[in-house]
Amino acid sequence: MKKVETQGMNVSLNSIEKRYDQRNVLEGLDLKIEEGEFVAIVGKSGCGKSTLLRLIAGLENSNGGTIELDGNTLSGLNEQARMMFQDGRLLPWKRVKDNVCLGLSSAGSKEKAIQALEQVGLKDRLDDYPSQLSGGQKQRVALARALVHDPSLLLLDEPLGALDALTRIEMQGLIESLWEQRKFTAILVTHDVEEAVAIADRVILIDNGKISINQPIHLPRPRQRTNPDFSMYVEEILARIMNRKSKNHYSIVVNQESPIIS
Amino acid sequence: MTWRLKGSVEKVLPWFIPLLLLIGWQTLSWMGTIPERILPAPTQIIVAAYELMGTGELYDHMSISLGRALAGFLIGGIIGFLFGLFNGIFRFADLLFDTSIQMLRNIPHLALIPLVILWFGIGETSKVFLVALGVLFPVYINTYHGIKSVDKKLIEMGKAYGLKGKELFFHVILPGAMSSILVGIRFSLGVMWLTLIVAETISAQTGIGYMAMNAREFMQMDVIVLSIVIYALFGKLSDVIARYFEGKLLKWDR
Repeated sequence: MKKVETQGMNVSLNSIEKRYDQRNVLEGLDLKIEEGEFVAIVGKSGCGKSTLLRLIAGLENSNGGTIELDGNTLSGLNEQARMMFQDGRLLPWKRVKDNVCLGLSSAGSKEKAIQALEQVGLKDRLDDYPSQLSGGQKQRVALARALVHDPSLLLLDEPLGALDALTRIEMQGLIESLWEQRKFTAILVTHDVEEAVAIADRVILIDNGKISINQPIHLPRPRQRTNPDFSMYVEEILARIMNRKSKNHYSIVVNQESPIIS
Repeated sequence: MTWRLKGSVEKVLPWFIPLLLLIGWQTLSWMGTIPERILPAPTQIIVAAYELMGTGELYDHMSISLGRALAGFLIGGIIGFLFGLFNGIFRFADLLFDTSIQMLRNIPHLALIPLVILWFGIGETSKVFLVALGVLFPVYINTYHGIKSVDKKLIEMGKAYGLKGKELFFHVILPGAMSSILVGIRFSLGVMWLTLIVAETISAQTGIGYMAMNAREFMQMDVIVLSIVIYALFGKLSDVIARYFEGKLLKWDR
């Protein structure tokens, strides 16, 4: 049997460029992500944050630059990464357990699927079809489907964007605890700055095809949203996204890839 | 609606109008309002059926017609399905075949009857050929369309989760196209009966259609109407079968 791989991986993006029909989406983007790190990418819609994630997943090719995973240059599909999509993308014609088994080699796949569904709290819905589940439950199944492969890199493409506020907070907690248990590297694309600050080690803002802030979040876990520092981080990052001056007295360092708060 | 029908009522209600018509028809025949030479009474048709069953004639004609329908359906259905599949999946096949198939599709296949008789005579081949030709296009169009309209996002997801080739086809593409394929099959079952009836009526020496044409020669109104009733029952039967498969294959879609 295959060794269970729970370690994360290093991801290194070197001057990545991506164009769609002469429109530059990413222009020479550099980013290094450590093994086991949780990074959130924020930015206005259309800034290229989802594109970046798809490049790392190997679903699209860049027009320039390289992506290195643990030092190896990525070409083609990223086999060690699993992507969780905004719309879940469960197969409606498969029962929950068969959706989770998708792409697993047959030996012991059912047990692994049941185990993964147990971890997301859906062990009692194994034989249901996705149409019988709520939006939050569907995303739990999608999370179980991603984790059953023991990925060393989990890519989250606005997975909670379509959920209601309460379910979203619940899911954030679930993702965080699974990440703490398994130590994979995680990259979360989101438009919700609060979500990014609540869950990530580091928040990255993409603007004009480049990284415009690279902000480590120095808050103890589990993070309290009522903590004044929490609101400060959110406020600072939002201010930068909207290009307005922050009301906080912390100064913004305009240099690329440098923290605004340290 | 606030009121719900009981289970037994739901089963019986669809048969209410056919039953009412049957009773009305029988009554009017008894009263002599409908003359026997225009339309014989239901009881007379049952008697005719009974007599023909006794000689084994009815069974022979029915099994021959069913055999032709099935053979034509399988041949045409499989060819249509395979073309739909390949043209839907492979761009090369699509470019090579689709235009030609679309041109052929627009020829009413029943217009080929004179040609088919000259080619194959009035034997089995001509009937099976016509049914297969009629069935082929609806199955082709719906399979092709079904494959083309499978959600691209699901295909991408399948690829991202390591599915390729055969796995991707059986787990994602085929089930995604299934509801459209079944619509094609259901439609083609209708075309199958229509084609068979026309083909058997125009040129045949066996089969239900032949039975009806032969009865016309001898003015046997009861046998003519019996043939029509048999076709109706066959049609209903194939609909039931199609529904059964839809329920089985699309049970996730509720």
